[in-house]
Amino acid sequence: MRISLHTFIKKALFDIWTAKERLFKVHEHLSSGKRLTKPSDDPIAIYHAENIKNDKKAISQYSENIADAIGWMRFTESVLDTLTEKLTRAKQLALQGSNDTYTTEERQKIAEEVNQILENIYAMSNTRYKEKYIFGGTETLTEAYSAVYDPVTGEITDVLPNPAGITGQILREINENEFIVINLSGEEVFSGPDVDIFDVLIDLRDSLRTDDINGIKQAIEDLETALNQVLRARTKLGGMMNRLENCDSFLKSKDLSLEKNLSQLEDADIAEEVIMLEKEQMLYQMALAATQKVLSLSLTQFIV
Amino acid sequence: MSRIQDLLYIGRSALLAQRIAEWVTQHNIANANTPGYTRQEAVLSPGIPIRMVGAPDLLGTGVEVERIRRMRDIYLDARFWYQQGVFSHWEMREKSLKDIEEVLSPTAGPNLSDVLTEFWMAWQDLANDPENMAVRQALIDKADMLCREFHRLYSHLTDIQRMLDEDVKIKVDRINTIIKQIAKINEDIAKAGGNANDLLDKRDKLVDELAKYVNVRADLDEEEVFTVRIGGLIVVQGREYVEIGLQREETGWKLVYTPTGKIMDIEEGEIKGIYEVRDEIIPDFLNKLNTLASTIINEVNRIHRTGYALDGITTGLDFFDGTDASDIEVRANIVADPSLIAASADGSPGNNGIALQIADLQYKPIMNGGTESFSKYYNSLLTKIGNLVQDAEGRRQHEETFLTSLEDQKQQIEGVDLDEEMLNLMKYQYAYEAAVKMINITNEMIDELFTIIS
Repeated sequence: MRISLHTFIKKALFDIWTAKERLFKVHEHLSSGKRLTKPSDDPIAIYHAENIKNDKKAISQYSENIADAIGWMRFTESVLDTLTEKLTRAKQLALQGSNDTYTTEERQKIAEEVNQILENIYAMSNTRYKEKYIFGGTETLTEAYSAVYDPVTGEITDVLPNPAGITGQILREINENEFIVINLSGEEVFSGPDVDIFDVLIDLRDSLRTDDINGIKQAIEDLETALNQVLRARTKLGGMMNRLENCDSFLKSKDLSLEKNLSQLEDADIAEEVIMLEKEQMLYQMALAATQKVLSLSLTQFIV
Repeated sequence: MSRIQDLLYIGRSALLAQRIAEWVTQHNIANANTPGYTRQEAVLSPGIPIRMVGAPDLLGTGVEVERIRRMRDIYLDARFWYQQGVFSHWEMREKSLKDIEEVLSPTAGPNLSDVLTEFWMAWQDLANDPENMAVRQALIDKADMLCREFHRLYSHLTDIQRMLDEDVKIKVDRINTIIKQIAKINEDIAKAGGNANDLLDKRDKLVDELAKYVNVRADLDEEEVFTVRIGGLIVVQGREYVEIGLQREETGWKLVYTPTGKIMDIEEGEIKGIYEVRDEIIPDFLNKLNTLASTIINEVNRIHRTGYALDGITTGLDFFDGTDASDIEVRANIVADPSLIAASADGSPGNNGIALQIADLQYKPIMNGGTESFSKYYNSLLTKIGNLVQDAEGRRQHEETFLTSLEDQKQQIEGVDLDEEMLNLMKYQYAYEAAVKMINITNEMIDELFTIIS
């Protein structure tokens, strides 16, 4: 067979280029650590890999949502803790006040402290978290409750909820299409569902002032109901936080398994690639060496 | 006629023939690296035999050079030209598809599906903090990034399309130049008479180039006139030629056969590759991008219109302006005042119902007849371009192997093998030396005669 110089050089170049191209590919995989660098590397795998990447981003967003919700709820919980303390103290005071041995003066003093507690709890009902009123429903920029003051004494005579409504639910998406209400309305804690804590305290204060023992006794009963009411809200909150934590650990394990899948789809097998690199390197060197050896052979060397 | 000095004619013919053969050999060696050069060979044949007194049979009269043969197989040429067209078609297609692939899935930086996911995440962030102006601003920034990404894809794809279209014009210019040159060479060959081998090489090389652009057939017609056909239509016949024209079609320039004014059937070659990508593939991707953009615009706006701005009063506003990938924008008044983003479903500032509804579009199977989410729809475009590239790459490699094997076959016949030429050089040299010796001997014989006479 006639092999012209042109054929030979073309073939040699073709072989060298092929070897070089494969070497380049292995190098690309190794230096990026990725097997998938463009869609045509594996069109089906890129589809799954891209979908997984989107899912992973969504999971990180849900985790963020959960962290935000837990922050909100922890804060709410701490407010309820204080509220329980204050109500317990009010109950103690009421028990003292109901004691027949107490004098009117002493009851006036107790009434003073109850009034203080009322002020505190009123302030609590307008607690803000990240500049939002947490008990005001979705009316987060308006105070949940507003107090009516006696023009003479300057004391609270009534506490009214925001007329725009305070029962709006604030939702967080914690997983695909799974929503959770993160807020407790003031009507679940302060002004309901069993008793209006403000009214109870106002009545207690006024009963103490007027030595109305029956009124005080009624207030003790009502405070008991109020404590239960707050306890129920705390239990509800605890349940929701539990659910959030479960969801979060579910998301974390889902993320881990997605990460594994993604790695299988797009990461280069380093051990294999290193062996490939050695192999391709050798093939490339051989192609070069063979070309050099054969090309240097010619009859011209032997003809003088 | 049997004079002793006639022997010198044989010697002279041998000297001349070997010298010409040597000349042709050296011409081959000199052109070993000349592209398109075809090996030539001096065809030697014995001189016309004559009858001589004293010889019972005809006697030879030495050697003569019958012709200088150009080593070429015209059937192989035809197959090679066809295959060149097929290969160039797929090569062009592969190259352009790879450009599209890089646009849709940039090696560095995010692709549309990443930007889109961030956009939905920004709505989640807004749902977490709907009263916060900084979060609202962040959402507008992400939405703007999404619009920029759509614009980038749209303009890069149309850029590729436009450049391919420009390429058609440039290639037609070149085709016309080649057509004219071939006609001119035909004329020169006719004038030269005989086998103008190097002119034939030049002509075949021009056809080689032509075969890259379009499907071409070039051969001698019934009257032995060299004819070139593109898409079955004659463009060169001897010294006559017609130029290829251009006609503006909906998707771009098309080749037109000027004598009839009809659009030519281009089946192979780079032009075919350009037609496919420019007229079918890019419009298809643009179409899908526009569908994606317009569906996002409509869905987001549909929900957004039902929501309330932070003031609790303003409602019925669109979030996006525009209708497709080329003109999608966040509404100017929302950009100017982020509080106009309608996150609330009932007007209260802490309500995030609308923000959540829009964020949830992320997973809704809205695209592709209600089967795919937006991101999946885009990701399946990546699969589509990936498959197209892979397919074109495979076909190109296949056609290249076939082309190379035809080229090898051609080279086996046409190419210059230096070893062979070196051997020929020696062969003719020895024959030349022998001829010189022969003349010497004849000379001595004549000398001997002269001594007897004197």
